[in-house]
Amino acid sequence: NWNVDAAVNGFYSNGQNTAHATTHDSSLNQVFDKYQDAPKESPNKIGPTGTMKFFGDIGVDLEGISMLIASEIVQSPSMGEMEREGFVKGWSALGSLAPPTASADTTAKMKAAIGARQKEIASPTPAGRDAFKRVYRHTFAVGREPGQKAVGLSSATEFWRVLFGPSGTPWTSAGTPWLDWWIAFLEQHHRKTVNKDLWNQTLTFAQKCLADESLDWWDEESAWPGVVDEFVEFVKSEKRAATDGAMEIG
Amino acid sequence: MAPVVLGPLPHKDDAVATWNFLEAGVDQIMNALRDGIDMKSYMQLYTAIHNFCTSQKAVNSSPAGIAIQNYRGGAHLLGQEMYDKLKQYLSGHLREIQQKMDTHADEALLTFYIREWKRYTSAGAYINHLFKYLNRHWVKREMDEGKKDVHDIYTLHLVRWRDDLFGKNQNSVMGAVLNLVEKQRNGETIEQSQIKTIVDSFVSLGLDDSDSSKSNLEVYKLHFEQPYLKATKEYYENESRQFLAENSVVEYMKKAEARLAEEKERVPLYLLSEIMAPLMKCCEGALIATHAELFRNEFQKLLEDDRQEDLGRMYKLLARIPGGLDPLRHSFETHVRNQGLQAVEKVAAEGDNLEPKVYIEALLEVHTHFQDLVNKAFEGESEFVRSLDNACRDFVNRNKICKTGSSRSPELLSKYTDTVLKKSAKSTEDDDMEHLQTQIMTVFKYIEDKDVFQKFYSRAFAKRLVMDTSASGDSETSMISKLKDASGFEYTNKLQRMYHDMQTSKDLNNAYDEWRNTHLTEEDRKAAVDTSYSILGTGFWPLQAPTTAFAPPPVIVRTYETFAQFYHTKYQGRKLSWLWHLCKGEIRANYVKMGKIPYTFQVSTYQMAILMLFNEATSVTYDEIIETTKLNKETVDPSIAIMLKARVLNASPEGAKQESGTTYTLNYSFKHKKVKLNLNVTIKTEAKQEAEETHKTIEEDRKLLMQSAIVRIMKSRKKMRHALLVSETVAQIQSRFKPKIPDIKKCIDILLEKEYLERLDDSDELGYLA
Repeated sequence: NWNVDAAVNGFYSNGQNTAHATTHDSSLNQVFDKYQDAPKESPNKIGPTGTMKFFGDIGVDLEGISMLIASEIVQSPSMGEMEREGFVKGWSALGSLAPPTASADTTAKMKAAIGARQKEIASPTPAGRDAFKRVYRHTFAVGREPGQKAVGLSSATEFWRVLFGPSGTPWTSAGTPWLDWWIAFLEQHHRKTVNKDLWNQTLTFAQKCLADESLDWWDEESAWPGVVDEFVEFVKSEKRAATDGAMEIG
Repeated sequence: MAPVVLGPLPHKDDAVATWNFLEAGVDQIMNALRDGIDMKSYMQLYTAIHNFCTSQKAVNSSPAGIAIQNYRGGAHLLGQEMYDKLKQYLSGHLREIQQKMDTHADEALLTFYIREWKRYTSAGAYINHLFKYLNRHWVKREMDEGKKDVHDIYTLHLVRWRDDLFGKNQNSVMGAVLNLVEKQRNGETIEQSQIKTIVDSFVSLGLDDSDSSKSNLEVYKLHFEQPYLKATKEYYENESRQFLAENSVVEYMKKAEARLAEEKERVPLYLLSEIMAPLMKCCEGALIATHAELFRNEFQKLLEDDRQEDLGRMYKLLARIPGGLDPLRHSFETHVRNQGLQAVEKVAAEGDNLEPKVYIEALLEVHTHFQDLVNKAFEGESEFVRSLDNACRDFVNRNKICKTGSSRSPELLSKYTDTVLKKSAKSTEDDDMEHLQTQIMTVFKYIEDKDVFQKFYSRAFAKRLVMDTSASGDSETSMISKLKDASGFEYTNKLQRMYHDMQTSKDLNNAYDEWRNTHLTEEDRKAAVDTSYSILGTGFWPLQAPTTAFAPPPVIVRTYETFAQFYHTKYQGRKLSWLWHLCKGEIRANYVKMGKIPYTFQVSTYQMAILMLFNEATSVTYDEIIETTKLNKETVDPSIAIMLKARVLNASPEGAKQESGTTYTLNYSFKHKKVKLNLNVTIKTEAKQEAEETHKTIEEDRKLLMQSAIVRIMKSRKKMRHALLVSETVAQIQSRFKPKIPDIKKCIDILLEKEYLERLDDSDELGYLA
């Protein structure tokens, strides 16, 4: 398991690395300081302007998954914002846990780390899936409007298209454009915000769908959010009924 | 035969002589008991045995060893030879009888057997007495020492009969018995006592090997009961097969019932009571179990033809075999359900205009009919009652009328209840009222959406109270207490509070009258409007505030302000809000009269406000009405419409709509056949709208009920699997309504979103967040 907090704690409590860590931290703090929008008013925050510049410097595509990866690494509290603690902890933990990109304390190293993470996410390994899950889940925090408990449906749709698109973990198969169906269904029938449980469960559901496309594993009594139940009904009655009929005739 | 002549007593040590002496006597008793034996001979025989048994040594036939053997425990007991000789004698005697017996058959055989058995056993009793000394000493000691083949002399007789005769002849004897029984079954008269004697004989031969003084039923069971049951089974299997080939199942059931009764009656006549249970089982097997399938096929037909008596017969027959009724229950349930659905379908043809009464009566008719059947034909058996309940619950909640949702039934039931409890032209007798309420409760019991009933009931109840349209207070309270018994205190709590408010209001009105007498001048009192007030607690009454602004006429304002003044002296700090839309009044039209009496109009307060404008002016415009009363258009228009329709008002221009520019005048030539006219009528669309509103509030209430149940459960459990939470929620709520699983899941979603709950570790387990 990839637990950032534990790793960070481990890193700091490990006496031998203290000097090393301090070096990281000071250089990371220097990078952080460089992008601050308002060093006087909020010395531990970087606002949208600084964040956009920083993302540009480390080669993050603002429309792509790399933006979500970077946001997860620094634990952005919301879209376009970074905090010192998350920034320093995130990058230094990445340095210690991923030796090839060791000590991601310069923008060049950070750029390389993002690239490595993006490759990892695309790989079908447990670590890759795990990394994807963390990015996916953090996206909910990034996607929320300030002060809201849920993500608006249109934002959620955009993020799903990125996360479940070609550069993330595609939620589609030869026979079934799952993501298109899902989004179409929500836009047609749900038309509400996406809460945290639905957001998180959508990933679990997507993985289940790909593992067994028959949906036979689904039953009404299980713990899915009601929207997922309705979607399954929708797929069975509207999307697949026609196919079944055709097969019977054949 | 001449009486035996005995010689002189033999020497006590001479065994051969002693036996010879005895044999003559024994033979006499055995073969010619009826000729009797004189006391002297009897005594001599007895003495001969006594002498032999007490002689010091046995001579002649006895080798020394035996004599020595007989010295035991200090006592010198003899008797072996006499015992053996008697045994030999009995075997010889029985051999002769047995040979003679072989020449008889059937009834003659039975007669012979019985005669010989009686003679032999009575002789045995005498001989036993004769050999009393031997029994008391030698036999007793042998038996005490555990010798199994030594019995007292009477038992010796039975043992010999059993081993030397019975073993060879019992089959033919039993065959004859069975032939006789068959004759009786076929309707002939037989000598029943013969069979009884045979049974007794068989029973007597059941000797306990470990203690021959005791008897058991082994011989009887093996040689009588078993063949008897086997023959019975065959007989009835054959008979029933033949009978069914030529007759209907209904006829057959009568036959089977009669046969079972006959067999039962036969037992005390000549059989042993022990046979009852196995015999009945055997008959039931042959007569019922074998044909159970046929019965079941007939069951459906009997139900359709409503043959209560035949159904009762079938029930009684099948109840006798294990599991015999189970398949019937299922058919019965399905039948009742179908009948219920059909009955509803018939009345559903009336469409939207369906009277609640017609619908409820259709449901009740089916229930009453089948409840009667269960009670009469199925003896009110609990499982059939359960099947009836299942079927009724099903068709009451899911039928053609309810196709939009199961809430239709409770809605119609509560509307029907309203018509029952409402004042009507013909008053309902107390007994009838009780009966109608019991019927309502019968349907209520099956209603799943009890919350819907509650909602509609409480609204109708509120109206009856406020409008004073209840048939009687007693029937209201009795209905509430029935509901309370069925669904608990909480269910009727608000209803009781509402009723209580009305009682309190009565007292309050009386107190107000007294207060007015002391606080108002006589002039004021005369000028005041005659009023009555209902003070209703906000939390208990399902009443909404008026939907329109309203400026009551000044006279009304004065009236209620006086009351409010009084009320606040009693209850300080309480706020009074007037529900104008529920108020009504009567006004006298002094300008139009029927003969000498002015007409009286019963009106809503809104109509009153409009009419009273004509005290000030002869014509009033639509805009003036709106401005003075402050009522909104939605309220004013229908209020005027009714008065136009009743020709109390005239519109100008004639036929003009209720809109700006229309002017109204009083109709001075108003005429009506009654002196009192009710203008305060609800319009049908209003009633429908109200029903829709009620349904909407039910949906909201249900969501809250489900959410609070979920929170309550999670609060006590802290952690719980999703599926378990759903089922617990169903369990908690189903006394009010049957929640749908997707609805519960939606409530869980809402609670997750509101962060009352959280999903634990991405699993199907939920946690409670305080």
